[in-house]
Parts: sequence; C-alpha cells; structure tokens
Amino acid sequence: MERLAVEPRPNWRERAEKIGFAFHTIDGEPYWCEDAAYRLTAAQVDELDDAAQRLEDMCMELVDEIVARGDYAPFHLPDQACSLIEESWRRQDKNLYGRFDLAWNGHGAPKLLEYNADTPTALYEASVVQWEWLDSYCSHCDQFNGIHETLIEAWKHFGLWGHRVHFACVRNHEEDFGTTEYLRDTAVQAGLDTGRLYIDEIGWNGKRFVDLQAKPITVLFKLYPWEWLLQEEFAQHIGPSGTRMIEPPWKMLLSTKALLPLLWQRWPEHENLLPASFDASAIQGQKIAKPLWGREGAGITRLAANGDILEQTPMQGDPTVDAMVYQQAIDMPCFDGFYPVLGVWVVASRACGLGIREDRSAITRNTSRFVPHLFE
Amino acid sequence: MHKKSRRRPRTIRLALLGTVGLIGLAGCEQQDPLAGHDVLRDQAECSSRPDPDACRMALADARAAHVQTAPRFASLRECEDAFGEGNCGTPDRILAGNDAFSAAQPAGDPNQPAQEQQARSSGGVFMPLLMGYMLGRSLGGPSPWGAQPLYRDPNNMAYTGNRPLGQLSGTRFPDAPKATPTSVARGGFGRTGASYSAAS
Repeated sequence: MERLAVEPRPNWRERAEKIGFAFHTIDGEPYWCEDAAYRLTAAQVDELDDAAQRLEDMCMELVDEIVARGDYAPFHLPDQACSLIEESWRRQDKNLYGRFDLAWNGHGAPKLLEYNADTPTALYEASVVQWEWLDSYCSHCDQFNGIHETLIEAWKHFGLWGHRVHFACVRNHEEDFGTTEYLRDTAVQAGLDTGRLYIDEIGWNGKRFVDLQAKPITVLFKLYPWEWLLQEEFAQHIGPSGTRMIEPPWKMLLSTKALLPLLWQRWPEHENLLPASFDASAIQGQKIAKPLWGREGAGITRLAANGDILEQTPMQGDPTVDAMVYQQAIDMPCFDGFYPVLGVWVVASRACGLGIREDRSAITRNTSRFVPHLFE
Repeated sequence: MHKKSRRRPRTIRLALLGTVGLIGLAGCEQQDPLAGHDVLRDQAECSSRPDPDACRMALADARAAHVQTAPRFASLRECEDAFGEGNCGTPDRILAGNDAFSAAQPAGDPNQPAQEQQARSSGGVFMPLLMGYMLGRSLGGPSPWGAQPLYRDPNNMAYTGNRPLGQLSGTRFPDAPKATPTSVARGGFGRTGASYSAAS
C-alpha cells in the first residue's frame, strides 16, 4: 500500500458536477482530493475484503446473541427501542448498508476502529466518483468497488414491490442530500417506486406516517440516526405506524460505540479487533475514549496511560448519553503526513468496496478529505 | 489471488443524478393500459350501452372472478399498504355489496374489534375493493363482451387479479373512494438533526 502523488485533472470540478457530485468542496475546503491516490495490491484488497466480511459476519452473530439474551443495558437505549429491535430482528428486516472504518498500512491485520452501521456517508464518492476518476487516470487499473451494482441488487431482494420507498434526510445539508439521492437512484434502477422528503416533513395522521400528499409512508429510508429519532416527538408512533424502516431498528445494536467492547468481549484477541472496554482501567497504555453515541469524530479523546488528556476533538451538540467506551490507541498508519482510514463498504451484509479518507490529524472527522484508490 | 474485487469493464449508470448516464425515464412514458377498453364503474352503467344485458352478464362474471382472483392479504394493514387506505375489505363484505363501491368501509386500526370480527368471519383474508371493470369485445364464449375486475393502488397502478396492468395516466378511471380527510401533524422528527449533519 502506498500513497501516490497524482496530477489532478484540470477540469475535475466540472467532471464531478457532471455526475451530480455537488459536495466536492465543503465549507470552502476541498473534500474530494485527487492530488493523491492510494495504490494497493490485489492481495491487499482481498485481505480488506475478507476482514470486513469477517467483521460483518461477527456483527450479525452478535446481534442474534444479544436479542436472544435480551440484554440491551450496554446500549443506553430508551425502552421503546428494545421492542423495535426485537420485532425487526425476528421479522428479519433486511439491512441496506454500512461502512467499517479500518486502520491498516498493508501489513499485519486490518484493525477495526469503528462501524458506521446506521447512517454512513461518503458512499457516492466511494461508489461513483472515484470510479469516474479511475477511468480517466489509469485505464488498466482496478478498484475495490462493486458498491453500485451491489446496491441495485440489494434493493431487488428487499421485497418492496407495490410499495413506494420514501427517502428522507435533514434539510440544508448537501452531503446528506447527495448521499440520500444516490441511494434513491439505485432503488429506482432496481425498479422500485420512490419518493423523497425531508425528515421534518414526515407527517403523522393518527394512524400512519404520511408524506406531503398525506399518503402513507409504508417504507422509509432515513439518513437520520436511530438514537435521534427515538428521542423526538414522533418516536412513540414508530411501532404503531407499521412503517418499515431502513436501516432497520436492530441496526441500533451495531451503530453505537458499544459494539466495540462487545465484539472484544465476544471475540477476545481477534486479529481484526482492538482491545475495547466500557471500563477505562481495563485498557493498557494509551487509549481512545469515544462517546457511546458519538459521530463524525466528535468528542474523541486520546488519553495517556496515566489518564492525562493528550488530544481532544470538540463535542457535537450536547451528549445525550454520557457513557463512553475505551479503545486501545494504536499508531495510526501515516503516509506523507496524512492519516488514512480505510472505509470498507458492506451492502446487504456483503463487503463490496473501499473508500479512503485521510486527515492531517490522526482522528478522522467530517472535514477529512476523500482520496481515490486503485490496485493493479 | 484476486478473488472478489471488481474487474473491468464496468459501467455505472445513474438514473437521477448528474447529467451523464441518464436512463431515459422521461422518454419512456407508458401507454395507458386501459386504452382501447371501456371502463365501467358498476352494472348500472350498462343501461346506457347498446347491449345492456350482455354487459351486465359480463360484469357479473367479472365480479365473481374478482372474489376468486383478487390479491389476498392476511391483514387489513398489509392490504392497505399495497392498495391504499380505505381501499380494502373482506370477501364477504365485498359480496354483500350491490356494486363495487358499496363495500367500501372506513379504514381503521386493524386491532379494533370490528375489524377482528370481519377477519375471523373471512378466514383472515383481505382483498382490494373493486374499482371498476374493464370491458372489451370477447374473443369467444357465450357473450359478445368480456369484463375483467380492476384495482388500482395509491400510485395509480392498475391491476387485474394479481397482475399489474401498468400505470394509469388519465382520468378515464373512476375516482377511488375518498378517504376521510384527517389532520396531519408534522415536524415531530428532525429536531435533533436540525443543527448538524446526521452522517457518520
């Protein structure tokens, strides 16, 4: 694995916009960057693929065991969540997608930093934009990228014929909107009837969630975290509404940082896991403290062995739950002063693609740059 | 050995995004599946036709076929998910009606006792209400006319039996029974995310 210096295409902005990639620049800073690319070997791609698939299989096994035990205490979820989780798991509600963030420099075993199982983004960049780049950069090169066709195939197996699938995200957020529209695009290509609205436009008519035409929303894709939905006014209606949600409620068991210590407890010393615990003193040496419901690298603290704070990122809003998890700190792989995080995508629980984000700091945030990759 | 990762050639097509790779959605408007057929709401409409008795006979056959061949659902909710609120009933209610529309019943909570009663008496079967009949020249049989039961879902897709006919385009099809307007509350989701991105 190496980081290549690459000459950006002079017209990259126009090219990006032509394929509907509107958020290549965020808050004035470049987000899509093609002045560099990561090159892997085919064997390394296979190793990433296998690692993510193993992790996904472990996650599914873990959900099954948690539901069988009925032990939801580590998740700090509202009571209502537990019945939603159990019902959706027993109904075998299908899940659409997720992204494993792995630390790896191409040697040894990739290590799981975290799993974005509920509302991952950087999807369009990984699926379409970097492929379009590869096409013009290196015609004989390949890319770990079957995301697009896997999404279309996944929709076909959701059993949603006859339904309109509504896609909802927050308003005034180009990146979330772009990601949601891309997913809707793949659903349309799978032959599904779709609609879109903002999350705050969802209506409740006393019996059903309804769209802006007051028609029932029977299937809802929401790019909006479950833990937020559950603390809002309409939360009480989710169960009675009968609306099928994507991601399904059982994904809550995978989308919080509680997953990390639970995986480590269940598979201690697994080569793709880092030691993690709900108890800071259980982790030797430097450790990373992560808020249970943290997102986008917010509220992350690096602690010295003696507990001193070495580095901290600001919180995003008020923490809803104070609980923290602790993960052993590792030396993050660094290339030319950039720290890459390898985001391996799973669609319908199959590993199918890679998107790399890098940052000058070892903590990847929503301002990190997306950099394409290739292998030969 | 390279196993699962993608191999060229590969083309990504986009249906909604961007200005390249567009699949011609706008260019492939479907024909109204009812074009070339007469659509009748009920048997009363046969009176104004040149061959009223044959028409009534054809509609009666179609009505019987309706009960035999309509899509079936185990619950009112599942049926209403597919065909819209207020557009489903149980077979006995549908048979008891004089025409397609008299069987319409107020949509309600499937857990309400009245609905349970119906579900029990119908063996837990719900089906879409008949929206009308598609009448055409019969290619054989005793009557010069043949009719098929018609349903449509809230997206204006027409069905006969379990078979989708296609998207209805115009206003030729009789209006669906109007659902009682209910008040809709909005804004009950989205407060947490109003200030920042939901992504991760």
